[in-house]
Amino acid sequence: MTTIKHHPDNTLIRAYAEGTLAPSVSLLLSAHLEYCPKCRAAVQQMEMQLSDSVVSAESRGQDSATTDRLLAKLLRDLPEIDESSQGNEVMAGSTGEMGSISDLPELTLENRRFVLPQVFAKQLHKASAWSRLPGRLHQARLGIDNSHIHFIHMDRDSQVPPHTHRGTEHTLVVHGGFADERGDYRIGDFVTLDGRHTHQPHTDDVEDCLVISALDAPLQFTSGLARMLNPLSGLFFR
Amino acid sequence: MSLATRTEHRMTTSAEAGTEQHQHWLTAVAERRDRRAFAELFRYYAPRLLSHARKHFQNDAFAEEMVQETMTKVWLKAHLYQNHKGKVSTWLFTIARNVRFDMLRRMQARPEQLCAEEIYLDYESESDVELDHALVDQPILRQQLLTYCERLPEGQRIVLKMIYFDDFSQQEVADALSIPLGTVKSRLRLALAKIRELLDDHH
Repeated sequence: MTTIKHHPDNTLIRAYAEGTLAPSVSLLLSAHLEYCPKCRAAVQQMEMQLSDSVVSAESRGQDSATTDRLLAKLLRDLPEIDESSQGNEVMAGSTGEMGSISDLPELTLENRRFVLPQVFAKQLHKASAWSRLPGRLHQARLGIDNSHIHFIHMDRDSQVPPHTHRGTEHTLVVHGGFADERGDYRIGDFVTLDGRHTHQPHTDDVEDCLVISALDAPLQFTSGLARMLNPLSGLFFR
Repeated sequence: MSLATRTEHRMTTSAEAGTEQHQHWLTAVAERRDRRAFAELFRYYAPRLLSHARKHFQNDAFAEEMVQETMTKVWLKAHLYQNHKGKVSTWLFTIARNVRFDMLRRMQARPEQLCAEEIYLDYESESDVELDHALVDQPILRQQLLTYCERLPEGQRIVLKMIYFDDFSQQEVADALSIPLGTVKSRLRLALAKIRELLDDHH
């Protein structure tokens, strides 16, 4: 009974499963998977397909001498594991996880608290302070790689000026929902937009909205007054 | 047509036999640190992984490093493989993928490190709270538990009831409530901690 309607496309799923997707986008996709059983199944399916092709690929020009050499070296270097230390390792592992889980990833804005997907637990310390933007918006930046991740909070009854994207923007809704000309987006939805789309996201008067977006180029505003914001877009979405 | 079906059937059977054999080897590694079983796995997978690695690394030394690091992880993590979750080859592929991801990150020397394990979470791992099932499997405790449940905050109570009384998995609860699995786990953990506290007060 999940209500998720917007999913990452198959190219993204494949790149994610391969490990070739930009880390910031991988992080966002992983967060979507926490909400979406359908995409979790798709990733598993893709991993199986990819591993089958690795296994069945012809390994021509492979001499068994190389395998023997690598095996001999590895067997010599294999770490010894005695059962007691393994037990400790498992214990330590689960306590460690407990620690991180009781630190529920939560983001605070003024006096509101937002629960975030687990995958952000270890990333939140990289988040900048909130900055206020025109139109009752707030934004905080998570510096990972060149393509940054942003938390964008839209208050009730607010809207982002119409804009398009120079690159590709992936957005995940983690609280509430918003709508634009093309549809509406609720918690768990994963939306991909690029330069072909101009959109004007807005919230209704019932609920505010928190999204996380991974953007690899600054926004470009397309209309009226908002175009004046363009010189500031470095400050806006960078 | 019947011939085609038969051929297909035979292929499936042989692939499945391979899968079983690999699980058998992996179990031997997990349970007995069986070096011979490990060597068998290595002989099967290492050449295949190496061909795969060479597509991603021009430098042969890096490709070999990827294989060695992957196979070392197989040795160390054999006990974490769960056969209901998929084939050995798929499990191994995800380990190799994570190793490659981390190697690339190291080579790029990114200031903000992000490692594969922080991205590729294990969504179905529920073992961390499984032990607590023992706590509530006795009928008396179940009754008591129901009473204690009422003292929990709503979010925790719903999660606890779905899992212990309606037999939902943690994942199913997350899906049904549209909340992240991590939230289910933390609510469950908080709820159980509270209940343990209440139990202790009574004993």
